Amino acid sequence: MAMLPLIVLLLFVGSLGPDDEALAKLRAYERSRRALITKLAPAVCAVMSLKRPGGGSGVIFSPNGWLLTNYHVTGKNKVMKIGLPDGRMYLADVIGIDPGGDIAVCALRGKGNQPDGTWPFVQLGHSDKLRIGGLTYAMGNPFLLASDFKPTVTIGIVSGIHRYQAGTGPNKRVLSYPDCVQVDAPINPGNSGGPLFDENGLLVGINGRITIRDRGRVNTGVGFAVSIAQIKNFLPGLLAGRHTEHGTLDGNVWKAPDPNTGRGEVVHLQSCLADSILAKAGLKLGDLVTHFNGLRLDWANQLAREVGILPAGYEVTLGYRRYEEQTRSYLPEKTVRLKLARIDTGSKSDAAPNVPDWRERPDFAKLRAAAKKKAATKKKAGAKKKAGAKKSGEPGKKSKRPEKRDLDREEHLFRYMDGLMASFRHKLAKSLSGVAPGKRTVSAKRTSTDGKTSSVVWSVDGAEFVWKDADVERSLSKAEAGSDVRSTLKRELDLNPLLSPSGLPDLLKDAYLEGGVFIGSRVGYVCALRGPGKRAVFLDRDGYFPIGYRFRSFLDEGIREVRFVDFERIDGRMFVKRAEVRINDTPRAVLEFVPADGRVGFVSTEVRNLRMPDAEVEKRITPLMKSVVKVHGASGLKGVPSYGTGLIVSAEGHVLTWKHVSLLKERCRIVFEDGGVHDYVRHREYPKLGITILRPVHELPKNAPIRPLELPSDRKTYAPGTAVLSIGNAFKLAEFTEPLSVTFGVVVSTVRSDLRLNLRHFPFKGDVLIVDAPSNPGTHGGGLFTLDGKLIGLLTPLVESRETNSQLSLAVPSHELAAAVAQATGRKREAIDIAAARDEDRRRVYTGIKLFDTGRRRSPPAYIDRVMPRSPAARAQLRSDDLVVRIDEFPIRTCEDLSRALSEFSPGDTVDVTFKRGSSVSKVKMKLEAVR
Amino acid sequence: MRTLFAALVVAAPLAAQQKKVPELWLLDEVVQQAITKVGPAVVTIETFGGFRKQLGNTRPRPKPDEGDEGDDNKKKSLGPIVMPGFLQAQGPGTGLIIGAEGWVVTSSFVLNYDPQTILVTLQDGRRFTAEVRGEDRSRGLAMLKVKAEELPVAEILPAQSIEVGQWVFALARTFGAKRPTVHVGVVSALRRISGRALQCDANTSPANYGGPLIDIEGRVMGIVSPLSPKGALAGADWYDSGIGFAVTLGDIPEILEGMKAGEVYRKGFLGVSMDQAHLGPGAKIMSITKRSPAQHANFRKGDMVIKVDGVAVKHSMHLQDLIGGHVAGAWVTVVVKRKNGDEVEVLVQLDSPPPPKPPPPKPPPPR
Repeated sequence: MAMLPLIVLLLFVGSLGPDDEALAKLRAYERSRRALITKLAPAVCAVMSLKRPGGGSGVIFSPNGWLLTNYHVTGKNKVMKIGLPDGRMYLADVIGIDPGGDIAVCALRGKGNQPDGTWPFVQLGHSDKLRIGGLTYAMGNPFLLASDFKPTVTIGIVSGIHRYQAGTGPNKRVLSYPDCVQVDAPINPGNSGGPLFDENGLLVGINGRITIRDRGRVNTGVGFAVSIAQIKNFLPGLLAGRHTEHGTLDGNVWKAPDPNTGRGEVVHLQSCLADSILAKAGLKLGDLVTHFNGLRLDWANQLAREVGILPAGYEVTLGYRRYEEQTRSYLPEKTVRLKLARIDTGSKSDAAPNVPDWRERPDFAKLRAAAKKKAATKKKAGAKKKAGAKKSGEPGKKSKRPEKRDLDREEHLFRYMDGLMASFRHKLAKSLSGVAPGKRTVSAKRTSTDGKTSSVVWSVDGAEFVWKDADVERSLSKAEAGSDVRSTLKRELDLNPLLSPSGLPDLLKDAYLEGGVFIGSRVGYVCALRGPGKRAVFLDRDGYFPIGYRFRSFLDEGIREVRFVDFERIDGRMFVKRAEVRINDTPRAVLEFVPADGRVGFVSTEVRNLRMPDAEVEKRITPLMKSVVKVHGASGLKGVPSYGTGLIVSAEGHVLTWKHVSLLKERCRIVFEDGGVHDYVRHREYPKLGITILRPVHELPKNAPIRPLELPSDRKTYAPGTAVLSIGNAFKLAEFTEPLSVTFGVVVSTVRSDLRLNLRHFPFKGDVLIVDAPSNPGTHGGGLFTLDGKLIGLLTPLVESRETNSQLSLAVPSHELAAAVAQATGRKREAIDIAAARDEDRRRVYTGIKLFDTGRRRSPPAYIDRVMPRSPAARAQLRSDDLVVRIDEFPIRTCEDLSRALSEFSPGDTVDVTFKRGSSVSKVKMKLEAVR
Repeated sequence: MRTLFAALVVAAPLAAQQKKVPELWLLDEVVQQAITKVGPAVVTIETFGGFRKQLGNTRPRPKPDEGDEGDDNKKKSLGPIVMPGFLQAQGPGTGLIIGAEGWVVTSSFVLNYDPQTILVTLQDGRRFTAEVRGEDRSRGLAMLKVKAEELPVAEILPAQSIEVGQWVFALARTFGAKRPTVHVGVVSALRRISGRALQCDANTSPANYGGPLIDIEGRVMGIVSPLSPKGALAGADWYDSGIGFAVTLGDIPEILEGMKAGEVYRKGFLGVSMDQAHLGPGAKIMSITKRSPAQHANFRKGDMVIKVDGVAVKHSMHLQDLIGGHVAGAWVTVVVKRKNGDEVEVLVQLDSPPPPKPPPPKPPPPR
């Protein structure tokens, strides 16, 4: 029985033709995408303000109903209206905000809309693993189209990763996108705050920004999403209800001519304030900045990007080299550790607007009763006042009343925090699973900052706890009740996850999230306990296992903080290898733990083995990046881009590009894939083709990273629907080493540019490719490639067709340019007269048709008013009141069209005239004559 | 049960194998087939003469102080200023043959000038004059008739089998080439514009308005039309924005037939405005238009609309959807809850909306 369907299925598959097979495979993709969308869409929401119209999108990332959106969607609102795809509206409190990075976290009120009382949610992914060319889905509520709150799903590819987009406002510090994902999936106003998913449905970014053209605030194929990697760094602060602040080095590091030697360009410190963190760390102006957190710096942009995604207070390492005048050389590299300073975004406190003080839980019942009583007395007083004299007060001058305390909102917030801690406790308990309670001895080698070493031993046995540090031994049972020693020992015993971990989740019952902590490359949550002692446990952001603790220690006379800086993984458990002890935030000692039986190992609850994006398309794109280059010229006109794109067409480095105003000057600069800048000069121009060929001023180095493109001279047509990739420098988003923007599209059609499109100022007359991969300022001169990496056309600037008044992305087919390129690059000796045939003088032609032209601004249809006797038209039997609709293949819609079409012909030519008479359409031949 | 299990076992490894060819490659192969199938039913529509009937929903170009984009790009946007009355060219448009006896359906956008002469050109080059028979102004559809027989007809996909995430191809013959032009995208959402249209992310513009939106097997989902949620036709600022609408044809057979019989449909209008602050369930009436169906039905300010045609109203936007999905003249049953708690069921005949008043000051754009 079971065999039968199997055979049937196999037969079915076997009988498919090659095309049907592709169709079946594509159907399979569609099915899996449908399943993915069904899973993801319920978590995508519309985010609206309660008062003002307008709104954006958001995405729920936790079953507890926490959602991510843009700060520019929530603004300074405290409560937002959330529309979910179940068609209903809910309320959510704004918890934490990150104005610098344009992110906000909200928490939905009440119980979830799922049967089990949770909310639908999506999983956070890894934006660092994205590949250029990989498929992405953007979801959201553009233009608030969804009255049922079902999100709009748009598809596109990753056009670029690690893009840097400066912010707005004073010093461009608000709403900056230091490390964003650029996609060509349509993103429009209203998509703000919505999710960007990779092909496997993992959240990789929050869509927040688009680059627009002149037509309006709509998508142009260039959308930006705040990368999830950046958001994750701020998540602890956001969940804690903070106004999180971005870090800064507080100095200007630029790539500029070497101030010391004057040779070449180097990344160096150009300016910083005397009291900035860089100055305090010992750096001086002119020092080369070589490394940041282990990353070698070649470009200043890298540094801006790396710093931009880190919160203030994050500890980083910076490598630098100083120039020594005596030896006239740079000293060996030195590394400094420093804590990132805070970017001033103008906020007074680090708490988000109206997030309550978590440290103390108010008694809401009592407060409510008090408020009621107060209101009642006020009413009475008000009534009395009314009865008395008229209120005296200056009109127009309102007294500033303190805002009424919104107890409901506060209670919701405390409920949110309790839910948050409950979920943390649950995950913490999971990470501590399998840890047996009972007798335990932990020993470590202690090396203090002054170099002294000693050994530390903690031993727990039931109620007894002994802490031995060097020669001092302290025991809990021997300590006096109420003494400093006792309270300190008790705190250590409670909080140190290595001693009695099973009690930790319970301990966090009355705790709140204070913010984030940054330990090495780990980001952690600071779960602070209410009550005295500044007690807190640090949990890993991804794995929820303990990564440190802190408390006020009377023995150290300050806040004692232990950070687990190094772990080793044995049998799936994380064992602490090294810890750092800090007193009042100053490193004091390092503890090296001695491996022993029964020591505590944590289980990371981090979701691993997430499916990574496919790199198939990127593999095809990578080699093309060596063939497409950035062109920087000068347009001399304000508002006209002075940049463009070019194609390498010879081994000597000739560059083919579109003839554009940015090449106003003889010279321009070309940037190769490796970021190398080369001087180029105009070599040859072909105005009829609309192209310019540039050549390097100096011979290129032998190892220049170029891969010349072959322009096929055989005429190949690409049918509508052929999938294409367009590569160009749209909006100059890519600088130096950054890869150019890649967008996906299909060939829309191949059309005669002069005949069908009715373009203004378009030099090339002939067959052009219309594509739906968007052209943008700067993409002109870029390449249009098939998915196999074959060049099929040169991108032109965006043009406007008067036929439809829509903007078109065009490409001139490469075979049309092959001859010119061969000539200019010297591969063919003999001069080719390109497009000479179109140059010959034309005499005006005579038809004998007198049109019914009113001479108004808009030309009327080409109705024949009169046909002159013995004229070509009369011989062709055309009559008065006929409507001319075609001359050969030229569409004639107006009188103007007719005269334009006739100007393309010479006397003696025979043309087909298509005309409408009554309700029938017919065609006649007409031999044109010369004007007498 | 056992048979089902076996089928699943076989399907799983197959699916795994199929993943090897990236989707974009497959798309490349499949598009051609679909175009070939529908191509003959896609026609060019040229119009001659006439005057503008209505303006698109035009917006001036963005002011430098708004928008979430960097200062840099704002300054560099340069080009023709979009002005009302300048947007629609008189170029050709596209239509789709849905009846072999010469029925061609298109977007009213193509006929916006109320032309004196309409010319339809088939793929094989045959040309016919056409006349407008019927219109659905709520959907922006127009039905044309040409005097011809045995024309190639496209297959229409039932509306309920369309799903979000499917590939779609928007075909057109606006530029008059031998093969139809194609724009590619996916279905973004279903039942938009009060359930009249599906939304797709394929680029739509006058270059393909009036043309069909098809699936990968070449079946027609709908007609691309410049709809806008505001009611008027979308203007040039929506061209190629990745937000496109196609009026689904599979679910409106009676409207198509009605248009053939010469009907002109308009959007249904009840005449109530809602309290937007009320989150639902139900929609709270804030005011009632004079001489509207709502006034005739004796609705009052403060009433809560709780049901329309048996469907519970979730919130005010939902009510707009439920009413807006009907054409003028349709009868709907509305249940309202009075302030005193009484529930009243009324049968209302929808009217067509009154001519628009001068536009109120613009609300801030969505972010």
